[in-house]
Amino acid sequence: MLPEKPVMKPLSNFLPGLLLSAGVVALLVGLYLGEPEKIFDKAVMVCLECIGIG
Amino acid sequence: MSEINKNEEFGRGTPSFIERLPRGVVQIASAILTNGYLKGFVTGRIFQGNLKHVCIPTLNCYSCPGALFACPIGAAQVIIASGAGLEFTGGQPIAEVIRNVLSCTPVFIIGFLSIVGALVGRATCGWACPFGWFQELVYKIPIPKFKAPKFLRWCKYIVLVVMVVLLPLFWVDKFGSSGPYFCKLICPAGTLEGGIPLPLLNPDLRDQLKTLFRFKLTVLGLFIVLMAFFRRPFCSWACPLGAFLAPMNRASFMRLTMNRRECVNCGACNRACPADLDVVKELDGAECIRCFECSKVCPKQLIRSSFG
Repeated sequence: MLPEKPVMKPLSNFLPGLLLSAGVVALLVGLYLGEPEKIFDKAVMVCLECIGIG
Repeated sequence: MSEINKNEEFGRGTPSFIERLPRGVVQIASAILTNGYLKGFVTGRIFQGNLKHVCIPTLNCYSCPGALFACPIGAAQVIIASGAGLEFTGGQPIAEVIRNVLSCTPVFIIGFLSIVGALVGRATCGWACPFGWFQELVYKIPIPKFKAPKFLRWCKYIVLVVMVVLLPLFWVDKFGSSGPYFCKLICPAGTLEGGIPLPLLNPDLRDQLKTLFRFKLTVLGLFIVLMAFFRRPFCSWACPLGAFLAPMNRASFMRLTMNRRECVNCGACNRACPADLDVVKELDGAECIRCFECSKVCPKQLIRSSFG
């Protein structure tokens, strides 16, 4: 009797895990580059563009 | 048997915890939570605490007097705009080129939104976005309703690429600086949440309102009129955050599945869908905002969510 062939999972099954891993890596790189500080510097000032002045 | 066929085999299931949650209550709670700096609505000054280091996965203007968090689209544009005017010459060391590219790439925001997308897809659009909730409220006005042509859905991808990436990167003014052009020229959420309340509370700002403000007010007015006739028109046609999260619906742990074999085509799901989808054909596609309204109204309980 031949051994059963292992069933391959379709690539789409791995997509959520891949996306999550890529997201975590990007988040950590962004933290390392100090991006939250850039976000903070912008977010605590009144955005003149947003309110239609700038 | 393929995964999809397997999913279509399931029978009438029990609604999960999230399917039983009252979405309207969650939307109200989210709007209050993300705009919980009540003092700002009295003083006319925006929140300046540490929470503004963090983005939220919804379109909520950080210049709203109550906003506690940063808007990912506004922040991303500012970071991209910081790269406007950067020059790349052939002689630069590769490390310097990488450093320059990374300095104007919102990797933290992309990473954060990718994590959200991988976990729940566009569920934040359906459950947490204050501007999405506002659109659903306006749609309740009892006037004739219309179905929009599907090609308009592609516009939001153009808005994302052109207004959020290309213009901040390449449209440099005479002083050599760029800016958040989506916020400046389109964002009706910014006008509603920041552009109207802040000048009302600050006479100094009120004196500075000129043509640009009138233009933004017109854009907001136009979208409000459209909201009365069409379901969530801004989300479907113009939201860059929706455009970023939309492809992730197909790559997220959270999924919606439907037993199509037992479907009696009653149309209840289509009538309930706030994203105006043909649910049987488009369930769990890029436009689905994972609100579960379809699963709540299905008389045979054929639509179910899964995670993992």
